[in-house]
Amino acid sequence: MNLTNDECQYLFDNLPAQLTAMLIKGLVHNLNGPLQVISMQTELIDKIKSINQQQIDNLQANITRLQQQIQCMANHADTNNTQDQPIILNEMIEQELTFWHADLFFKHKVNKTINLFQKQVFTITQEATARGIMGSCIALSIESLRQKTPCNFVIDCSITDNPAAYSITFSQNGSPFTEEQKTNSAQQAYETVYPASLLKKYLAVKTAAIGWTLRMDAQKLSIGIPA
Amino acid sequence: MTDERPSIRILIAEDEKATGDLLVNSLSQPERRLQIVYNGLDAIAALQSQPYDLLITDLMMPGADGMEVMKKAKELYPEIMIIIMTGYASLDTAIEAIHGGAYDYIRKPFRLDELEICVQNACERILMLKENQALLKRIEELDRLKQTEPPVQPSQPIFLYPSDIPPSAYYAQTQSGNDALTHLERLSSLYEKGLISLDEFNIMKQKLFAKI
Repeated sequence: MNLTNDECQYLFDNLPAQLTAMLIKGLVHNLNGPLQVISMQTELIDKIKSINQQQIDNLQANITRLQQQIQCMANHADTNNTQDQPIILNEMIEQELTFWHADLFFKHKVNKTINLFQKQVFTITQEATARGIMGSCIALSIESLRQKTPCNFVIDCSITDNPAAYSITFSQNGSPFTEEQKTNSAQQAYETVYPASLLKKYLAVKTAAIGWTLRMDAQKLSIGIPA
Repeated sequence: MTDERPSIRILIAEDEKATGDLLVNSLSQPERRLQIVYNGLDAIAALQSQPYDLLITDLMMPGADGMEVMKKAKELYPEIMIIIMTGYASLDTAIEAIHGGAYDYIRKPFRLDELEICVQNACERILMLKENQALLKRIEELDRLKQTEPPVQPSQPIFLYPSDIPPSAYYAQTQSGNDALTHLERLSSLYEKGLISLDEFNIMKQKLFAKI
């Protein structure tokens, strides 16, 4: 089946939404965690007909977790918002990591080291595109790591000199980004697979569209962001 | 056999600490020995360090996933019962788990009552298996004893004497008419109950009369 240019463009523009759809199973899985705790805790409280501070704290902590996950999902639902707005970068990175924990291979099998900006920095840009770029960097890293054990993933954030004001680097110890990624049958339990070549194109086009820079090394993706 | 029921060793593997702790809290019972671990590798290490009767494991965990833990458990203890719990909504995984030897599969979010029923059923089955094994062992021991003991000779009714007194000494001690009468009554009783044959009864009776 051949797609028209318009159809290809539509699919390309909506790549982040497609990634979100691919993660639905994992998103539901992660919602079940805090929901399970709340359910069990209320059942126990009902049995003994009393409640203590620890149980209240446990309930509140898991309600907060649910709210955070729902917020992450809501952020990804708003893909058509092209208006510029201020974005706190540390906050967005943390939200993206929480969101990408819906990829259960990434959540359970990948060792993550996250070095956020030392201070709160922000940039003004299209939020949905910025999320799409960060998500694509994480998705590409996951694809590169699928055949590797142990899997190490690092995010380094730094404030740089001109031309870019802020730099975010995504590193991994798997196969080079420049290689075609293949699925490892040993990882079938975590079967979500992302279209690596499309993600690379998306990154190249979208970073340029919002004035960010992209550098792709063998095991490292670096994004330059103006202040 | 003693009436005391054996304890059941249960290992819980759950990467969500809050969930794991609540599971321990709710499943605790005097006859259950519960241990909790928070990742797959610790679960395998725990299984290697001591045997368990029941494994309750999450499917998606860091280190090693539930399927790996289950395979290891089955390899170490083929009779171990396994309950898989997961929020990963996949029928394929459930089928794979059951084919891999899991006793049951429970999907999150589940109610504690549901899990308790599941665990209770597994525990009943474990206790039944343990009792069966104990009975089989006992039967085997009895069979072995029967094979090693010499057959009882009809002409030597050893059950009539106290075990620590030799027959000659025993007869020497029972010389009085009253004693003989008492023994005759015992012999009659044994014969009536079918514990000795008529021949044995007659031989013993003649011996008693000869002593009076």
